[in-house]
Amino acid sequence: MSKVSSKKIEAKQIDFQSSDNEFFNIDVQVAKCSGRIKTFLEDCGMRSGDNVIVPLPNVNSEILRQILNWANYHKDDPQPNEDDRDEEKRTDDISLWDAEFLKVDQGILFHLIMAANYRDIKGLFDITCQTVANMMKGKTSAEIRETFNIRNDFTPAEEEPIGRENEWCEQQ
Amino acid sequence: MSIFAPDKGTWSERYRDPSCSRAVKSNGFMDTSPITQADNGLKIPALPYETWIEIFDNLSHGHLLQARLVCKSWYQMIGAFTSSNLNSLFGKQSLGEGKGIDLSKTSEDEIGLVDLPKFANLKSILMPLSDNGELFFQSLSNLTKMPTMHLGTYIPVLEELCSQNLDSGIDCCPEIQCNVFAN
Repeated sequence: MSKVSSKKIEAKQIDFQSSDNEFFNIDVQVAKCSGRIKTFLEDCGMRSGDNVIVPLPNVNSEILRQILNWANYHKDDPQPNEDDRDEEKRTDDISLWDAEFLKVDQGILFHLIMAANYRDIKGLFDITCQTVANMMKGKTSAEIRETFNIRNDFTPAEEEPIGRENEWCEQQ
Repeated sequence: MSIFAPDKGTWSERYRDPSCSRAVKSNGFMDTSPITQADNGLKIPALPYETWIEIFDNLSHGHLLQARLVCKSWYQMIGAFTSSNLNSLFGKQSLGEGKGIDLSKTSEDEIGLVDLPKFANLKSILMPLSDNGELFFQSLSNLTKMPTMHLGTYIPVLEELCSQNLDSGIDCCPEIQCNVFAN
């Protein structure tokens, strides 16, 4: 730990270390898109000149590169207010840039969701969840199973009444 | 050089522990989302229960109907999801967002407290089975204030009730559960 300084100037850069030991030197402003990192930096009171390395043992370099790409593009977005975190601000519109960004395979998409959830990156979490939801829209249950590689564990006797109920609902 | 290790739990903050997904697994949820190999060699992780709930929250009622047929755990989750919408009724003033509510496990005392017309986006309601339909009569007085609602039940006493209310957009369905749906 470096010598305690009375200076309260924040560090401008921070290093992330991915699970596969790649280092990413980024602006603190970008890093703060993560609620967890933001709280961490504020709690620790980083000083100018500190060389801070934050290991991220559950994020590999491929996912981290994607997240930082997203965070860099959105670094000037207004920060979500603590008070309206629970408020529903849902819209079916994902910006063009985000839509292009999210054209990734399902493995990456799910890893982005996990990381966004764990790191408290609200904007990224919302659009990734919405993207998964969009993958279900207009699909039958069989097509959804195929999309997400889920085994049907209903017996025909269990499935039939639910299916019948659905049929009725859809006729209305 | 200082090395901070936020993942080792050395600092306090709101901690979203991914191990809760394992707890969920032990309850029988999510067993059907296996870790599979994606094209690029990355494993597709099993998303935790609460994340699926967030995802389902983006879906309309019609899409949720299909989703609940996917597997047992999704059926349970979507049931729990609509129930949790219900639970929020009793605590919050703003009720406009709920898409579906499940009243089927709600006690008689509580059901009277539900002010259904407050749900601007309500698409479906699951009603409790009742021998005499009494509970239903109470709730129905609220439902008839809502336009384009369709109602179905197999309870004989309610067939009469339904036919009485056909003019106000209420329809019958020979189903085990009693469903009320908006167009």
